[in-house]
Amino acid sequence: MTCSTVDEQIHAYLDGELPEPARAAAERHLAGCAACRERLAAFQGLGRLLRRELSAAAGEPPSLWPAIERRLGDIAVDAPARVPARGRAAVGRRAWRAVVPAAAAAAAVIAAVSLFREREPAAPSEAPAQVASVEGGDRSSVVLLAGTPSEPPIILVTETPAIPRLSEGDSSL
Amino acid sequence: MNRARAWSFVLALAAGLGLAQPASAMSISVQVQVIYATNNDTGVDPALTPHARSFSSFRYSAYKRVGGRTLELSDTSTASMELPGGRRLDVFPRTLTPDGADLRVAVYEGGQKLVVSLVRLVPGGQPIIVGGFKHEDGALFLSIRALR
Repeated sequence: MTCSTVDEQIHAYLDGELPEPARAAAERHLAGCAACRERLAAFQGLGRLLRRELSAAAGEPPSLWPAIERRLGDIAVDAPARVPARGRAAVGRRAWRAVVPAAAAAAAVIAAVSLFREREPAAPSEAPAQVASVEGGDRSSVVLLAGTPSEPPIILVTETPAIPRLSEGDSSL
Repeated sequence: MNRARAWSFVLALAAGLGLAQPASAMSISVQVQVIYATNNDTGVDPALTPHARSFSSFRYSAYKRVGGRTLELSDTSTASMELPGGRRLDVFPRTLTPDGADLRVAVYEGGQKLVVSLVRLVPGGQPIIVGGFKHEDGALFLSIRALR
């Protein structure tokens, strides 16, 4: 099993959904690959963080927004051309080894944005949907448009990378 | 004595029936609608009227329902659905309760992951919309909603 295969199957592995032969192969790979263990740990930590955030959502103070916007400023990337202006959270995918911490932070911010963007209570007949995390693939990038009480969350997928490669000498990552 | 034996029999029978009855597994129905958005036409398919407001976020002039299916999800079983363009939708229930479902929603193309998301849907509540997948002259979107 390769790092790429583990990358594809990591969610199923965490959910206990991976069939036994594949699970054993993944565990053998993880035992010898520090980078994949690091990625696994990041997702496990993210899951705990999201569960905590989701369960505490109703009681968070409004002052959370400025912090979210500051963090969005740190991670935002250029959105694809057809992404409308109302999108407040943008996440792209880069080579995962370089951005595991950033991806975890981005997903947490997305979760927070989904939860706190609008604070008006939703109509009982239209309880809001929530997006806790979203991740693109090797040749896709994703943008989350957070939901409101009257509009559902939208996950836009673009099948060409939205993020240009960093030029040499650019160390702003 | 006969009465005591009769009651014992009834109790044993009731206990046996109770043990034989499997614990009711949580399940939920998730409705998936496949929407084709294009600029080669105008208008919104009447079946998609509830989504019209969401479509204002996009640049397409026409939205048509081109497919759909209701997926029955129960504990720890992935439901899959073929999508146009050789894509596949997988929905895996992480947590199912009467108040909502935490789902892992993934779309693949040719075995490659296009998007994986963790979402929470409330039965009868808002859908999520996932899409932007290239299709013919436009794009495909999925509306995914938990049914009551």
